[in-house]
Amino acid sequence: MEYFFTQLINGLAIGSIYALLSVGYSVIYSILKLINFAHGDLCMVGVFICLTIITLTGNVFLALIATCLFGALAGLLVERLAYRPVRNVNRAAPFVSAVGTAMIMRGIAQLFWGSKMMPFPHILPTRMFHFGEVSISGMSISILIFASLIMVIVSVFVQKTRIGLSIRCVSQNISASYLMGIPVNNVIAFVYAFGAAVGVLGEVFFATYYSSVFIGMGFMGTVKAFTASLLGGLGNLYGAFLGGIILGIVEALGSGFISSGYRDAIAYAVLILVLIIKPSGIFGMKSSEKV
Amino acid sequence: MTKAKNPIGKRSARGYAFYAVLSILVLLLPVIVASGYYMRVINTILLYSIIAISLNLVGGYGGLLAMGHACYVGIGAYTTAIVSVSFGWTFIPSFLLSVFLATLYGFITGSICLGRIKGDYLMIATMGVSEITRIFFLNAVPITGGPMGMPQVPPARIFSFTFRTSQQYYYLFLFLLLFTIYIIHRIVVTKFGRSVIAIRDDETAAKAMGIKTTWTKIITFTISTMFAGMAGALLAHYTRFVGPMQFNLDEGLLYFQMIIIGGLGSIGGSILGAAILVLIPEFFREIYRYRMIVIGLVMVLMMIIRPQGLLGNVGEGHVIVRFSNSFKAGVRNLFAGIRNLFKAKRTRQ
Repeated sequence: MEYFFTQLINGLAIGSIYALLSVGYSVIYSILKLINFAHGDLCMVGVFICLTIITLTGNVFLALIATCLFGALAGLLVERLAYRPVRNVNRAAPFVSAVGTAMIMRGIAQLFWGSKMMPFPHILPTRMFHFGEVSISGMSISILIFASLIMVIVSVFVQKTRIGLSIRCVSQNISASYLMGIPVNNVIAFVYAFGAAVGVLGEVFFATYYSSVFIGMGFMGTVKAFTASLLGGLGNLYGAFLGGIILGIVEALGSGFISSGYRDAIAYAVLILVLIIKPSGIFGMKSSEKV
Repeated sequence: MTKAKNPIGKRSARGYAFYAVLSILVLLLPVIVASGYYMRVINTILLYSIIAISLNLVGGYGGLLAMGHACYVGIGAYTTAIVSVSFGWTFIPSFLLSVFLATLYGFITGSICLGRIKGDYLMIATMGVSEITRIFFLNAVPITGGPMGMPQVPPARIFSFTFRTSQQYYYLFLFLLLFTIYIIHRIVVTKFGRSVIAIRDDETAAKAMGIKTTWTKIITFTISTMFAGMAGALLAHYTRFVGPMQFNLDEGLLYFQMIIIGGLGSIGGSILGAAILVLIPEFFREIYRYRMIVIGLVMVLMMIIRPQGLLGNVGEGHVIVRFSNSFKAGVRNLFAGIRNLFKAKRTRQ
């Protein structure tokens, strides 16, 4: 039972990281129906930059700010150069364009930092806390706290501010938003920047949790974010949060109680099962097909 | 009702001459290309073409986002490796068993995924199946050798003839590629193929016309996995090594990129897409440090220039006419794309 709780807390921590990663993913999907295959790889480059700044200056706070800025800038740039030109063509072209962008990101990381796995410093407290028999690492708790804080900020931002309102409008109906005078292109660019900045933070937490950073992390992040947002129901911000946390818990419990080698397989099996029972994800709204 | 139009177009004397020259070139290719390295590249293209054409039936004609075909290639490859290493089976029985198992697995997983899951959700479901299978390959050490894979797969042997050089394999691959093209082409022009296309265009309307949509989709998927398993069996003999990393998610995405770059719903396009995505990495082998960046740039640029794929949607006519049309359209698109880069503020939804 103690083991169960330890695994549960670990699962929550990992899950909240997945939730951060899937914010950008899910909002982009709700607007453009585009599956952003470059999301994780872009964030991975951000983690490398964070690592470089930490080793150069030793200032974690500065590094995090700079990394977020990098994420936002890179998100803007990628949207402008790779996604906007193919946005309105068909469903297939943005997919290839996104995978191409992901490869460019991997190539950049390989060029500057090499393809070896690098150690990542602990930027969060690692002290163990003991509650009776249950022992929990301070890192899990602080990741959980920070991630929840960011999730709250994101939801307040989307619900209460003017920009958040325009994001919601654009995701409901893009043509009507044009007619209402919402600068749709700017909103979409903003969402990319915003999603990348939040996603980079998620990947930084991921790197510090496993105390390593490597190129494969990017695609892994993409797949996890994709899985989490589908589990929760695509295009729904809260669905993405919850999907991420469920995914993390399923992975932690599956690897703790069944087999660690089959951890990802268990997560995928749960996902397929959920989709068979409820084809639009747990919180996905059922969209009626138009004839 | 008129007979379905021959997609190759009306053949003139010039057309026959073109095909005759083309066939002779294709048949004599191993004699012309003496180098073993170039032969290996060509053989890789042929193998990927088989996979891409079979995926095109699902993804291009059927419009189903199946991103997990790597696992069916994997099932075919592992079956071949296991029965020929452990039991010493020769090519024909091991090949048939591999194709059978891949088809069976395709049918089972297809029935699971295609029943209720649709659209982008199908994408992650097929990716999930692919990853589950790969993780099984990785962890089932007694059967598959685990992360070490299965080395020393014997070369293909039919009766007493053993395939040793790339030139010999070329004819085997070419024969199976032509077989794949023929079968997929025949399927597309039949009533079954038309209903597959109808489901892609409008599923509700297809259902209203009395097409059994789910069943049709499952059968299409199963046929496609059959060819994927076939390619896997060939791959195992050809590379003589089978490992779990050959069948990861990236590989499944690569197959789909091939058919999009070539043009969805075009058999020639699938071959062209496979050729492009095999050749670009080989071409930039010299500057391997920048290789990934260059490949990525080419993919992004190609989609900006020609978003419907190189041979997708180019209209009717002779193959040369269509190709030149598509080329002209591509150049026009390139300039439009460059113009749009600078004034995309005005892009309308």
